[in-house]
Amino acid sequence: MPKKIIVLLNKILPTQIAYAHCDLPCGVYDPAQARIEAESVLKIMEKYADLHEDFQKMRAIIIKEQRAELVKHHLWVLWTDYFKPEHLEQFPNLHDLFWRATKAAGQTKKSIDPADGQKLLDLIAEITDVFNKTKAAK
Amino acid sequence: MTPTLMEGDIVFINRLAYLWHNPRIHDIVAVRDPRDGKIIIKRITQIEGKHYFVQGDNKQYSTDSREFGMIDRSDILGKMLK
Repeated sequence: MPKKIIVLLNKILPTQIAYAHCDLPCGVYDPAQARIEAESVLKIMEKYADLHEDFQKMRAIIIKEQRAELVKHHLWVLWTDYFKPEHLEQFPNLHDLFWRATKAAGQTKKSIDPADGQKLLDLIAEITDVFNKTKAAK
Repeated sequence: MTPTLMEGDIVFINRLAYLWHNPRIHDIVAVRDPRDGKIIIKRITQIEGKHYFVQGDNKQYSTDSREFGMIDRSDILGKMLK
């Protein structure tokens, strides 16, 4: 169709944006990514008490916050990309579990209490359990 | 939907196409994305009753029914005119 006619029709007819874009769903998901970052968070918390130099403490805090942010990122990817509505039917507490886990990741940013780090790891372990069950069901 | 569609393409959707018959395999259709309600354009590759499996032509990188599952007949807005 000539371009002029298309432009004219585009002005006359009601138009909407439609999406046909492609992203890259590599299909590789694993809660281990979140767990490894959360283990780093916990280790930093445990070692923090033994640090004496200010620059070491500062560095530990910065790295801990970066790792905690990565935990959040990996959990969100799992939550929004891997898990599907049918998983929610099978595990009705899924949203609540992810909500608590990402909240716990946020808590580890402002805390140096290893108990907070352990709580985060425990929640990731629960998510891993659900993840493994969905994988086994495939 | 590359190579069939490229970014910025203007397409016409016939909203009356399926008044008299049901969508068919290979039709390119505008559908409501079941995840967020956005309008997306995909190709029908499989039909089971009133449920349609849609895929992008760029299969390697398309997010489609392989991700969000089959879509209902009622979520098909119309057929793309070629």
